[in-house]
Amino acid sequence: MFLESIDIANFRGIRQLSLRLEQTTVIIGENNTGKSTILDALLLALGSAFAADRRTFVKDDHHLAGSDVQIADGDTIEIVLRFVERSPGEWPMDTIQQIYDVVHIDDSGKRRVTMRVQSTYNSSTSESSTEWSFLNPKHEKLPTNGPQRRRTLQSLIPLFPLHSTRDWGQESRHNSRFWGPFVRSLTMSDDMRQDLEKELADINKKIVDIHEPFGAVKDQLNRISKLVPLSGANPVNIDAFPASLRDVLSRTKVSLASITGAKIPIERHGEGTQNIAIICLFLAYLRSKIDEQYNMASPILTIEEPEAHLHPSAAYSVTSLLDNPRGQNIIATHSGDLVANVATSSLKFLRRRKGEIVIRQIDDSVFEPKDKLAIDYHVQNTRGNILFARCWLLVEGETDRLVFEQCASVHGIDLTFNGIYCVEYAQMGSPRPLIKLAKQIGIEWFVVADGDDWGHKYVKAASKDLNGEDSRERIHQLEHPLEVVLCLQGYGDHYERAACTESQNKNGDAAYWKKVMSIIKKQDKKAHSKPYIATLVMQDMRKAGKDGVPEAIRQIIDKSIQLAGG
Amino acid sequence: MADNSLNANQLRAVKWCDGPLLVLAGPGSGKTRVLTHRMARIISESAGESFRILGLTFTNKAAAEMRRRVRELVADVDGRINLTTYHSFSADILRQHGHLLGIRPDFDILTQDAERRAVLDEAISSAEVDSGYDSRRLLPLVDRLIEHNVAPNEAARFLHEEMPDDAQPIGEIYGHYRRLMIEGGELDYVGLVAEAHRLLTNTAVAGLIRTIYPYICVDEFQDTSLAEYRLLCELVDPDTRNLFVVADDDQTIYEWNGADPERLQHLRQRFGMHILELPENYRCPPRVVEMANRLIANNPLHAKADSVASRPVEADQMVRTREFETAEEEVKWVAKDIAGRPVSERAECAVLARNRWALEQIVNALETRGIQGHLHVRKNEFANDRMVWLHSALRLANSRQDSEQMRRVCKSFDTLEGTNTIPDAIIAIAMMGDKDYLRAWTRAVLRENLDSTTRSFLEEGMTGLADKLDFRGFIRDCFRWFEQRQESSPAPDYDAYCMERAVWGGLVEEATSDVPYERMTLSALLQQIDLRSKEPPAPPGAVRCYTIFASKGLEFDHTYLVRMAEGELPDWRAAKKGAASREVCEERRICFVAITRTLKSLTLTWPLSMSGHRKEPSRFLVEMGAVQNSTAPSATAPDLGLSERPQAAGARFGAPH
Repeated sequence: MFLESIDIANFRGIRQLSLRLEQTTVIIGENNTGKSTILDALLLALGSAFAADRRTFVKDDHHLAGSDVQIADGDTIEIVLRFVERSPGEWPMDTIQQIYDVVHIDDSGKRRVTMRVQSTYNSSTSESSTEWSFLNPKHEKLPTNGPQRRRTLQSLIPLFPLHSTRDWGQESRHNSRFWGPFVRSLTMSDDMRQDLEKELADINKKIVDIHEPFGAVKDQLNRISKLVPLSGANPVNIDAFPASLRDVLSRTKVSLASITGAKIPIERHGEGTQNIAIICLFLAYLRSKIDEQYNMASPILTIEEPEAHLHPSAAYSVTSLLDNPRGQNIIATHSGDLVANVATSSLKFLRRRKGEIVIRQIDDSVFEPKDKLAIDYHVQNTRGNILFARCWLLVEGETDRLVFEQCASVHGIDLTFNGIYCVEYAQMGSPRPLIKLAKQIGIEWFVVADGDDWGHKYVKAASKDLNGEDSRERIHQLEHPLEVVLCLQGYGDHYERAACTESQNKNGDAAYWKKVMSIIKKQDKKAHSKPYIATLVMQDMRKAGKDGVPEAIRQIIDKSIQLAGG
Repeated sequence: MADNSLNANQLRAVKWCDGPLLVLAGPGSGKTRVLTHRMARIISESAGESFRILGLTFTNKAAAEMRRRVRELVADVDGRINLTTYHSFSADILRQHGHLLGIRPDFDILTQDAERRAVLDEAISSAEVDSGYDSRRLLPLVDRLIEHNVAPNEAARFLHEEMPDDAQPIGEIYGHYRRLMIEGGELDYVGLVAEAHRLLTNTAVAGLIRTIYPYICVDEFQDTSLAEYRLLCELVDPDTRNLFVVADDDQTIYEWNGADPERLQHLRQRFGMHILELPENYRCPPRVVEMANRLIANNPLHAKADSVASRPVEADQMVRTREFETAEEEVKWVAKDIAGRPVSERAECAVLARNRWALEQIVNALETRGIQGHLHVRKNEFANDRMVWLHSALRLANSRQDSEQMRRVCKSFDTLEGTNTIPDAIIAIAMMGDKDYLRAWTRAVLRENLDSTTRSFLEEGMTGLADKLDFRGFIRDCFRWFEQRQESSPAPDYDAYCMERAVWGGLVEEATSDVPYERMTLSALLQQIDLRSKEPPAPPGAVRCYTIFASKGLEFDHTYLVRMAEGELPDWRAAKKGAASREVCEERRICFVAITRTLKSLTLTWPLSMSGHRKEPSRFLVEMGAVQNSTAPSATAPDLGLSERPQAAGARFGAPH
């Protein structure tokens, strides 16, 4: 059963939020923007398949608008889960029969189940009361036994949460969640078990007999039976290892051979290896569990920071490990590498806006296929980093990006620290797809264009996305092409050299520099590429210091910092 | 499962797997056993699966009884079987899917014609038709349209032939009536089934229901109304046709309520039903079986094989006939005859009549002999003011602007507490503020001079009900308040209240067979209660008196069938239509149902005059062979089995086997 969306209201930091879910959903957002809150909301609403994770609402789960605000009795936590049958026949007959009294049909004939959990805190009794109910599409309550049907849903859609703190030492104990079931399930006939245990006893005896000091101890210990009544002829037994097969199993250890070939227990490997080991164990557990217990089930896996302690390329591929064809995965991450390897439509961006947590998600339908490709290219190319930005400085090409990044640095500003990423748009033909994306995912944007015909076209295109905003807040067209701006600032000699002009006219006007540029353009590009010349210019600018940064560029950088909220 | 307790035919029915089967089952042939054993068999053979069986019965009582019997046969049936009535089932699917028709899950069920007329009056005025339409006269017509589930835009065409002039405006009114019902969050009994049928014409809904209920069992199919039949047709998956129907065409007695002897033919044609007959009658003495066979053979539509008497012959089986000069003598004799029986036997006696009037006389006559009689009548509403107040307050809490419930709250409370609350005034005040009649009433009544327990109950309980919808607390407190009031100022009708309160408890128990009481919503509870009769059970030891209609499905050791006279049974209106009319055929089936209630003894009585008018003995007496010929009474026929009993004048015939 596909979980289409989760609505959350008045829950911890979230006042109101609606999250659309995908087959794999990747939630990203800065710290304290509610990633874990969303996973917890799901955990509280649906309940965990692990008994140890189960808990109910507490006072602190209630949303407080400020530090001095008290919980009002009316502020009800509300979490609504919407399940949908995406295509006719997707839900197995047995599933429908089990949830017969909560399935409803929407206007398009699709089968749906809508579950709501509400929790109210009564300040006079200091108690939370929680109610589970099922709704029709108009959000009217169905007269069903809510808790009972929730239990049905729990068996059909088991939720397996994997929290961010993972410790192999914990997880590999014989009574742990993932390892324990493997250890405990002894699939062997009684005869075979007795035979093996007899062999164990023989070996035990051999070891103990060979090991002489035991003999003395045993004699000493046998004297106990003179003081205390003990049974049998052999009251004292010394076992080198457990006599029962179950006990043997409970002591099993998993070791990974290191590069040298030495068997090293997992808990003594690095944190990254332990993390991967736990995720794999988790998946192994799920596979066996889902097959035996949840035959019809479509499990939901929630995983916090699967990239923890992993090398970037391991982080990049960790999602492909999470193969869950029947169910859904929900991942909270800070890793651009991980993000770079998933479809952009599965990304959900959590932001803080005016003190409230909001969610931004990508609606794929507004993009042309080629725009989608271009966006994916950018995401891949930056290893997902641009998606973590607060503001995009949209520049035409590679040179522009280099110049702006370096100018900022000369100016003493770290763009990355301020959440600003320079993104090139000219190769996409227009800055608009990126602006659309920025708007959807809640990233601020600022467009820079050259002072030429192309630049004029870009400005015109970008203006369409202003929606009434002052164009000065979002768009800056340079007076001239960027290189000309640099030349006018006194960095022209590099360009003159590249153009092999006879005269050196350091104080030439814009018309002169444009001519120089057109000469360079006609030349063999390999010798004097624009980005290469720009690096030479930037070396000079570094020497010149802050004052060497052209005013127009400084203004643009200031503007983007302002937009990024820095 | 105790399969060895079933006969060969029953076993075949129980073992029937897939596909359509019609079980033609005469009286006492064990059809309930067959139904319950088959359900239990399917459930126990499909352990681990989740599909449900839908069992449709004629009454909630019958459903409850079957549920009990299936539970005895197989464990854990509750999630697997939905034994219910057409109306309850309709209400269930409307709650779940009604949103597709604009129906809210917490709709009210209008049980009173007065409430329905109020809606109809509103429809008449919003239809903007010439005045002169009277809701009282129009209601049966509206019922017929709903019963046929005529779409509002088809109504005029439907009525055209019958009433060319009025078809158009009545069609309009009808459309408004159904719209107003839904908009007001209300449905009436006929509307429940009709709207459920409309819902099932949505293929997605029908597909869902058929997935949930791959097996459908129907009891007493012969009394299915048209609307119910159409609903049933939509429920059955056309591919699997897993429809298991039990019927007795000889017992179709609800023609006045939309049943039709030909419906069984339609069913057979539509689904290609296989047929299995259960001719064995395990209930009635052989003599009664023989009489019933002879009687029903006179009906042209009767096609089944004769019943085979399968109850062993016992000493106390007998058939008696008694003729009396007057109806008064008849009533007196019946009372005396019952009084002559040992006390333990009286509770096993039942008096049946075509009409209720005769039974009221019997109850009176029994009472003059110091014997309690109990007349069974379906009660849609509680009668005792305490229960009326509780019930209407709950309904008002569920629907805060229901003026009819407001009126009932006022009236019942005024009678109980001597206050004087005026519904219209309270409504007017409510409309100026939060438009909440319940709160307005509470505020108004608290200004009156109230008894202190009453005041504290209202202050606590009503707040809980009005603000938190804590209806469970309210009901609990309300019962306690009734008790306290009775202690402080005893009222004579308290016993009547206690009986209805017991009924309430029983209804809640039935209503909560699926959803526990603590989890039930107020609207669902009210709907369940609306669908059930509020008739109290017969007091222990009382002699039960039933109209023949109400005796359907029951059986009694000693059955008295009174007023076996022309004009009574058959009813004079039917008799007027002619001997071969379908009306007389239905009367014959009614008589057939009556005599086949008998387990041990059947007593047939009739008066030769009523209110000074001459009466002929019923033609059915001759047809069944109870009397040789009405024109030649044989006054000397011996009454072998009852020689020790006092003999009434005019004993004619008695032939125990």
